[in-house]
Amino acid sequence: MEELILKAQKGDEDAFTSIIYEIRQDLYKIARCRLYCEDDIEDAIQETMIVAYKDIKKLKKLEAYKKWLIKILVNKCNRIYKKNKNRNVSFDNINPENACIEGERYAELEEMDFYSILSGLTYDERMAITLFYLEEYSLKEISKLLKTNENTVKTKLKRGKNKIRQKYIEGGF
Amino acid sequence: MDKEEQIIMDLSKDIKIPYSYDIAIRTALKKKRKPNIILLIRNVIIWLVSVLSILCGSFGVYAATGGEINGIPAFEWLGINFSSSYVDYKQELKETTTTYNKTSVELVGTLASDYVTVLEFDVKLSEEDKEYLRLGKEVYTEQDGIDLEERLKQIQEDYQRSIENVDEMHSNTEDKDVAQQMKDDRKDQYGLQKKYAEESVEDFKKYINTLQLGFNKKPMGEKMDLLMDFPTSKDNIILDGEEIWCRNYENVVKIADNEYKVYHVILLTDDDLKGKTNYNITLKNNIIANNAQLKNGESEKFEGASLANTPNNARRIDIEGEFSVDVSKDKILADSNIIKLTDKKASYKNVTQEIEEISINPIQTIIRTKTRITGVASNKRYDYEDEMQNPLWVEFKITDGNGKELKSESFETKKILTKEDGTVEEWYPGDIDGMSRYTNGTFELTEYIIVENNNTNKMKITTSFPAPSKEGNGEQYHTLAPIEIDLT
Repeated sequence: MEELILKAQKGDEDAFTSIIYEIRQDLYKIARCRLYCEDDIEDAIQETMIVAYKDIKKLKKLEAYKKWLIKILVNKCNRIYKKNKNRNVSFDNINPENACIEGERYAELEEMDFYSILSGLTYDERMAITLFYLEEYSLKEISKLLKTNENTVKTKLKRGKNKIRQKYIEGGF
Repeated sequence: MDKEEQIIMDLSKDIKIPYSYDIAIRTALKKKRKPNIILLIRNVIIWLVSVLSILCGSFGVYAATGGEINGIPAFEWLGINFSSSYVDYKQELKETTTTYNKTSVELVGTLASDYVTVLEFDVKLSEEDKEYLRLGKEVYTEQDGIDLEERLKQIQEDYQRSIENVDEMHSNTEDKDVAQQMKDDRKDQYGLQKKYAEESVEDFKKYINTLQLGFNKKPMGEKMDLLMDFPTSKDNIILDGEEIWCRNYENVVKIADNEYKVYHVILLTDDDLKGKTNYNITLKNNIIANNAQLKNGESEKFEGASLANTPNNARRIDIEGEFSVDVSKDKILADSNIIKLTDKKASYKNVTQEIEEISINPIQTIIRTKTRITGVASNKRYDYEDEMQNPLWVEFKITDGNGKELKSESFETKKILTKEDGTVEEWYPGDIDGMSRYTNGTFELTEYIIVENNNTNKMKITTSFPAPSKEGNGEQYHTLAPIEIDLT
């Protein structure tokens, strides 16, 4: 990955696109925590890429590239969320009936996955769980990203975890 | 499996993402407003300057030509010959040796002139340390070869998995074209990643290890981080007890099998020195490290030799003790001709260039200039048509009274943006703050130009800068009227 980053720092667009492509699943999931509409998610990822490509030269710690991109993405998602608040309904309402665009529909979930785990959680709980477990963020890092304090993050994490634990019990997973 | 592991596993499962999301990624950079290609190349250069000099580090500039070592260090740095008067003005030092086992680093001399301070070191390495630093050996290690094989294997596996995912996602659909398109995309990505990995090996193989010194490095633990990759990278010095950022360069000359001469050049502006001509420099948390040098011995100017150092190759040895040295510009200033100027200006549209001061000292000539660019807007940074908007690059050509070009190198030392509402931002020299938003702002750039000495009575300074025109395929340079200075 370092080679790709160094190439991207030298202005190589293909290398930069490859970096994003490599972590597109994680970026999509994080955007999903905030945004519902596919159009908005695509805008968020594109805006993130444009800003990040411009500024990748400033990236000091190459190994921190993913966290750096996530930070930009979260800010973009928040901005788009505020702008299009009306159509960004609850995470739990992700189903074909509420989809913004025809044809971009998800099948009914049959096993525990990203969606089923996080349904019923608030945005902050979803983000805390995703960043903590999926991206291995520390409490401090999450608190910075969510602009809150560590104790609040701890509480969100705990509540989120309890809700998930309940689902595992109920679902027999 | 406990619940936490279960959460991680379930969260990590790939979810189905729409094809339009993939397309959005592939086309994102095509949507951005593309800068002129030459400006883009300039940006790349600036990025290197930023990455290597400002954000990450200083440059190792290795002498391609040895020159006399015994007494007169006729070294060249950044393409400028250092005057042989160096030896007349060098302040000899004693008892400034630090040792590490049988390795010693001795600060043997200093020289301070306008803008340029030189610290001269003698480095003698023990056989063991030379071996440890892999000096003279290829940067590319056996472990790098093993790592590459693993990386290629991983890339291949990821590719196979992604193809299987496409098959799985589209097993029940009849839209074979979409599936094929996705497979083609995956194949392209695979090809690119494989190509980059293989190319990087070829790049690494162009380099061998040479020595460098690093100063004021904070102690680090076992964990590898960027500072390890850029051992001399921290462009800071301790000036009169205060840690400040400034540009550092290093010129290394091998003088015997295990002996090196290191000229550490520190560039200190008037702002840094606050008018002082006598000052103290402290170097602590110092290291000896290896660094990459092109095999063909080419001197690197703004190229990233240190980028070629791989984690498997990078080595550093912490030097015990510290150096603290008083330096003085007084002797050189007594023999200098400093010309302060107030009316030496040239303008073109929204750009004004002013030469503020020329200092002709026995070592070299230093020109201090200021460039003002008015009416700038962030949304025109790359797409300007007529007036100068991008403060990335101002070029100088210095000629003597006979029109002969003199070797020179310019350094942006300060970049101030004043926004329309009076807000002031100071950007890193040589850098662009891509996040900053402004309209009708003013840039004020301070630049120092180091000019190789020449016994000329007149000097002509010509400034040019890129300014894409409306016709626009190529790039046009606007050249300001030359500013002539009488040096007598």
